[in-house]
Amino acid sequence: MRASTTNNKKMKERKFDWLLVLGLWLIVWSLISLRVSAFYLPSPLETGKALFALFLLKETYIIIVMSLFRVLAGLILAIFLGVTTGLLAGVSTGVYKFLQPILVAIKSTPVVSFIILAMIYMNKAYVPSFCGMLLCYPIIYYNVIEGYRTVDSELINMSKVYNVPMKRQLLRLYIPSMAPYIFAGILTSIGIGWKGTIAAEVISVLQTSIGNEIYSGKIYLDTEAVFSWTIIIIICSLAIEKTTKKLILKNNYYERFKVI
Amino acid sequence: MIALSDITKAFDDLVILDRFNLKFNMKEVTCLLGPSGCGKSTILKILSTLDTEYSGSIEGIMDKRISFVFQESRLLPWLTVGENLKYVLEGHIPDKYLQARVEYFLEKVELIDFMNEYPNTLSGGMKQRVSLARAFAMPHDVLLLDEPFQGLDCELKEQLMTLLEKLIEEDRKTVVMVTHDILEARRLANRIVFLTGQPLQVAREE
Repeated sequence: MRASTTNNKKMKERKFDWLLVLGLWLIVWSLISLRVSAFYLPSPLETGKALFALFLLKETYIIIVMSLFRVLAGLILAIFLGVTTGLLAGVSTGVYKFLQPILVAIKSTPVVSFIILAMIYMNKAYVPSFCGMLLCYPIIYYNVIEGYRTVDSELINMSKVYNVPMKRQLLRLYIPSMAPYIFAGILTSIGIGWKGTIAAEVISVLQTSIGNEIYSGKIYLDTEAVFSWTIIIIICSLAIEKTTKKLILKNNYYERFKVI
Repeated sequence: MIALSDITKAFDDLVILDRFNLKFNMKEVTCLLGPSGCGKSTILKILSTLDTEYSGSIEGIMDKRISFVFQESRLLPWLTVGENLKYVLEGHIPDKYLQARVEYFLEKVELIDFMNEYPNTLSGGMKQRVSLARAFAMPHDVLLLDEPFQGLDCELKEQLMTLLEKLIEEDRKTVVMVTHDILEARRLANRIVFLTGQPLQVAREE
């Protein structure tokens, strides 16, 4: 009872601190916007008004849902590819070595190169998801390999002695052991995937997308719209991350791992 | 009969077994007794084929089904006690008898009420009882035990030894047990092999 009261108090204090810092930055923003033309930097109030106006439009929600869908499509693809190839690379050093140049190339190539290349090779509707996938894939892949290496060798030996088939070992030993690593990889890659997807939407000027709205804002010199959509991106990113964290905690996996 | 012939095993420069020979009689409990860290467990690893990096030959084990009780319980923490047993039993026992077999052996080790509990809710002794239930529930010809009572207090050790005695008595199989405790060996074994030295040698038998 006392512990939960202390936790609630701490949480309230943390929220208060966060709001205070946010308020201070809003003041800094307001002060700068007073000295700079609204064309370059709209005030927080103007941006707030533009944001509110956007939230009143049905189209805004359709655009957000479509962009979210693209991010999720890329993320799901990255999870599938990352887990399967990560597992294979964990099992076989040959596969690891074979895939290493590709992974190094993906990690070192600027996202804009991927976007341009993808626009050459595929329908532009798929470009944002594809680029999001490419950004998330290495993170999940390396986390899966790290997770594979930490699977308890004593449990592996026990499974070998009892002739447990590989498929069952994979589903009940390897994947649950690696779950915290996979979840951590997903959490880390969400933010990056989201940013990459939006960047691809901007460059590929895709209809019904947040990226397209930002691009239009730039073309029509509507800085308030650019700021408003950027705030929407931040809100969505935080919402996705929080939801994923909650889902993972709800799964209760970590609790079971305690005191093995 | 299971026979180890001219087994040589080394870890880098440290020779554990040098042309080592030993025979195990079927349906008999053989205890390998020796000081801690002398390499007794290596023999079990070789018998169970967990260790294949050695020279020499083994006869009479390749066609045998093996159950193994390790020093630690080696339970999967995210599976319940019942699921841990099913993890090894599935495929070896027809599905329709699986649940009954799990319950039967958990009953034997007096843990039936904990069938749906996770290992982290069990004490060290209870976990080792689950490990025994798993080993006996698994259809086997040879049972290997690697210091199964290590680290347990006297009372718990006594309980587990009584249980093991009972289980072995009920289901007479070839048992090879590694221990450094002469009392454990005298109580459970038909034959005790005293091991000593580096590389390991058979000092005497009784």
